Amino acid sequence: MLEDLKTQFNVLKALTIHNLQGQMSSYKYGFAWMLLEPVIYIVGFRLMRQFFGNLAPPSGMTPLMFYILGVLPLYLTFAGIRGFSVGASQSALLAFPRVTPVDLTLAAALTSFCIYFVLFWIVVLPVSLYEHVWPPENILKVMLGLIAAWMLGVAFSFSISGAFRVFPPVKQFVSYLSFGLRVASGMFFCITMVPILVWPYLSWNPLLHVTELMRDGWFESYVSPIASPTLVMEWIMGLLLLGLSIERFMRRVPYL
Amino acid sequence: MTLELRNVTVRTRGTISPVSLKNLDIRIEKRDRVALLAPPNSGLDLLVDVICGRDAPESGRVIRGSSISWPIPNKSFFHKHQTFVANARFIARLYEVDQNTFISRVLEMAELAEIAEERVDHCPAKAASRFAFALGACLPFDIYLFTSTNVGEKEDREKYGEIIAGMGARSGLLIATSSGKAAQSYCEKAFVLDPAGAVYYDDIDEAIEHLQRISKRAEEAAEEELLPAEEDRVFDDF
Repeated sequence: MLEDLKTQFNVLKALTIHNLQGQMSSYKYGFAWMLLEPVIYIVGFRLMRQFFGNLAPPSGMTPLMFYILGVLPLYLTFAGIRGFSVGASQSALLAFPRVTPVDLTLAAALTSFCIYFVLFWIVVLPVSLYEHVWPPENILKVMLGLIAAWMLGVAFSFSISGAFRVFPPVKQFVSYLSFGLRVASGMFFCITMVPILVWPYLSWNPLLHVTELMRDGWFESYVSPIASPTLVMEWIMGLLLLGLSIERFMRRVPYL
Repeated sequence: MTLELRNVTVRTRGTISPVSLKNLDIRIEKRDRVALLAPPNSGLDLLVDVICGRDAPESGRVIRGSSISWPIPNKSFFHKHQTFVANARFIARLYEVDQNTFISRVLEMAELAEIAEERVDHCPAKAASRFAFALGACLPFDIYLFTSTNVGEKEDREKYGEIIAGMGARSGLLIATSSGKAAQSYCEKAFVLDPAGAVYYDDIDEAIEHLQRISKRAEEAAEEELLPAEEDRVFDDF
């Protein structure tokens, strides 16, 4: 049993390193592009705030850190979600009898976690020092938020990869969903900035809880009225159960 | 310690003329040297995918009781922007073997010591082919699965042929091919993948005769399919 676990760990490690080495290999500046996209978002939101005063974060939250804590966890989630196509496609790596589609999906998820986790701290450290909000109030809560964001993405990707294998246009729906989640998940607002009337509807979204957890964990002055780690865990467990059940069924189905 | 296909059916999907292989019952023991013979484009690649777990069969079961290699000399997993050493390191990690020993064995077998730190895409295709072969040959498997036994340049064939024969002496060999010659060189038994099912032969020469018969039939059928299309085209032109 322990030997099998060790082998599983080594397979995931080998695939993750293989993915990291192949990441952005077709682009001349490699990982610089990964940094560029979220930075453009953060700068964009910061500039919008100059023009729309009502987008200003509640008192005590510094503007750049406010957007960073909204944007980067969501990037981690969306990178995890994008793993659905890895599990659903017939990768060349599946020619290795010891590699399964689950390994490939997990390795893709670990790859994105490595990249965005490092990216998060590379961006957050200098910005928080510049805005005098270092150190975070509760670093464990921040870490929990990051890991929860990633796990939500992974769980969601497992759930949709089965559907994508039998019905490829699902990809299109995923992009609509991603757009909706980007808008509704607290990238550029926190729950206290919206009318109390809509809180019960918005708080169904686990990603909003993640961004709330991040800001609650970082800023001393902000206590989120809705952030619930339990709800996020429930979503993760539910989606994982659904996704892994679908995967177990789909492994007996030939590729299209 | 076997590889067994029980009542397996495979079918190509998303193609204009689908090919199917039905009710395949194949059992390969640990030290068997077996050829899987089929005419070109008759679903052999698909069966190889099913054997190594890359695809699922339409029906039936594949039971892998032995460690089986990936289809050698498959190159599709290479990171071509990386060096030979980096690619070999990936395999060493994946199969949990000592990296330095494995890499030096692979480079020696593939005669790549001088260009070991070159990018794969900057090197000749024959070098990549030798490297792909050596990656599989330097690992211990119960059954080695080959999709081609033509490795490297013509003058290298003898050397690599001896290596394959050596592998066959200590482990099982499964050669999936449309070439009777490759089967004759390394195998003692064969399964011919006839559209009606897999036909087992103890005698490799009889198997090759069967392969030639069905290959000829397949060629004739392909020509017959082409002929009406040609006539149609002439008529359309007219």
